[in-house]
Amino acid sequence: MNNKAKYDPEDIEQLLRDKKYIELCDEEREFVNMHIGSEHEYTKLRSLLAIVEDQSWDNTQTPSPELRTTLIENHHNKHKKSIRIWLNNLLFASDGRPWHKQRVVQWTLAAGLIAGVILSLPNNNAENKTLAETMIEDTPIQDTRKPSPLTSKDMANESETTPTVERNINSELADAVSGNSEEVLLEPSHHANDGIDKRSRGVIDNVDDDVISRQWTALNNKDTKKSPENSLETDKIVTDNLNYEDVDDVARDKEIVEYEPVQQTQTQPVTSVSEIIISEMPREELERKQSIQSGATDLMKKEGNTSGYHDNKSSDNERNISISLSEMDDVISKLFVAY
Amino acid sequence: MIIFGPDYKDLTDEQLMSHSTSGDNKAFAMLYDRFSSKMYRFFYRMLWNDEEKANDFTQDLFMKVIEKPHLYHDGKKFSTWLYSIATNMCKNEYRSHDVRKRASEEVKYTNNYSSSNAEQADNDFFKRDLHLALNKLNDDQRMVFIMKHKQGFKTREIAEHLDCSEGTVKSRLFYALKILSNELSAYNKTNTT
Repeated sequence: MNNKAKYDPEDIEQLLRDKKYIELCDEEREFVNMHIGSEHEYTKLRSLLAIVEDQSWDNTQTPSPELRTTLIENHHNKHKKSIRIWLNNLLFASDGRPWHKQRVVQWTLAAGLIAGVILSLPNNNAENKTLAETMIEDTPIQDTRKPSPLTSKDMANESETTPTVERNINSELADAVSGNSEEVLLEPSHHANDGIDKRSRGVIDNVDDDVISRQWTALNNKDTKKSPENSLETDKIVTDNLNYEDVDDVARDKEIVEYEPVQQTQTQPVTSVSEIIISEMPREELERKQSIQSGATDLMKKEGNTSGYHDNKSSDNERNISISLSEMDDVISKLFVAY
Repeated sequence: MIIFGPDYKDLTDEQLMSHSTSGDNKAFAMLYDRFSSKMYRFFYRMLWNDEEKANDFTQDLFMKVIEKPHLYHDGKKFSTWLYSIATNMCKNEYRSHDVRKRASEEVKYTNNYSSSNAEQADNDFFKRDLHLALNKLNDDQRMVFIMKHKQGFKTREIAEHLDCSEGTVKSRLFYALKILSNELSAYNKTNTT
């Protein structure tokens, strides 16, 4: 049992190679006798093994030289064919599919779909850019065409309520209108103040009787270039400025402390001031001015009815504006005379 | 950046096989030069010293290397894979019906020859008798014996090639030696003296 544990049949070859039968120890000899019948057989096996291992085997045998060439050519052709087969398999299936199921058709459709998606993306971007540019360009045009409606109250609180852009637009509009018309009628507030100051200092000496007519002529010429809608609003602005600023200045010069902003239809404060001034005028001057005023009033009515300056749909506003302007002319004329 | 190609002499068998699979002709040629002679001798001794058959089997073996490289798995020893293919080819050849018949006829002929001339046989005669005696072994015993004593493989390597244990290889070697001893008993008297 112990011998079996130490040696296996496959280890007999090692004993045959290393030891003669007489050199074996008792344990080894007992193990050998289990697989080999006798000492003679052990000796035969040992001699054969020695012959086999010492035998100089013929290792000069080689395959034919043509075999090498043939195999290398086959290897070369094999890999050349594989590339061609790969391309065919990529484009055409050899399993008898219909033409619309061939890979080349499917690849073409896929490529076309991808190309269409790619080409469609820049067009969308270009359209967006065009829209963006249009919006940028349209913004100021929309502001000029549709100014926010102004009232005398808004003008009074301009610095608080009017946005910066609108203030600039309105101020530019007022400047543009005032630049083409007489300063008395169309100047902005600060110009009006200057004008009043000049008049109060006597810088403007002569007020011609034709001033009013020239004012209206210029105003009509200016307004005919604009749409009726815009001209009406512009006139309202001018009128508001004129009513508000001039009356305010007059009240301040005359030390009339309190003043409420004049609405377009509210002509009563002006009338009261005119009465005060007229009451202080000499009689000759008063008669002279009244004659001029009556002539100017007739002229204004005539011009106003024929020039298309007023909006026919807003007859009340037209009448109020006409009254306000005429009365303001009267007041200014009286102021000149008084000072 | 690789300017010069690899030095194929320094590459291992497995690296050469990888290059050959990717279409490198030089790598395949180097593999052929390393193994063609060994495999030719293996087939020659396994297939009854038939040079023509050994040549055909060598060609078939390398054609399988060319056409079925996917059967080789990375990490496995290339020589093991190659010998496993070769032994399977030999086993298939042994199974063919005419092989057994042919072997039995040759054994009959050589036995007569060896028995009559055993005492005067020189080294060449012994070689021939030994080859004939190998035909009396079964396939496994013959294969193990040839790989051990003619190819020079170690027992562990034979076990890897034949996918069996080392004990099995040693046992087959012992029984093959006993059979050969009986077949070549005529030489024992002269050599043991």
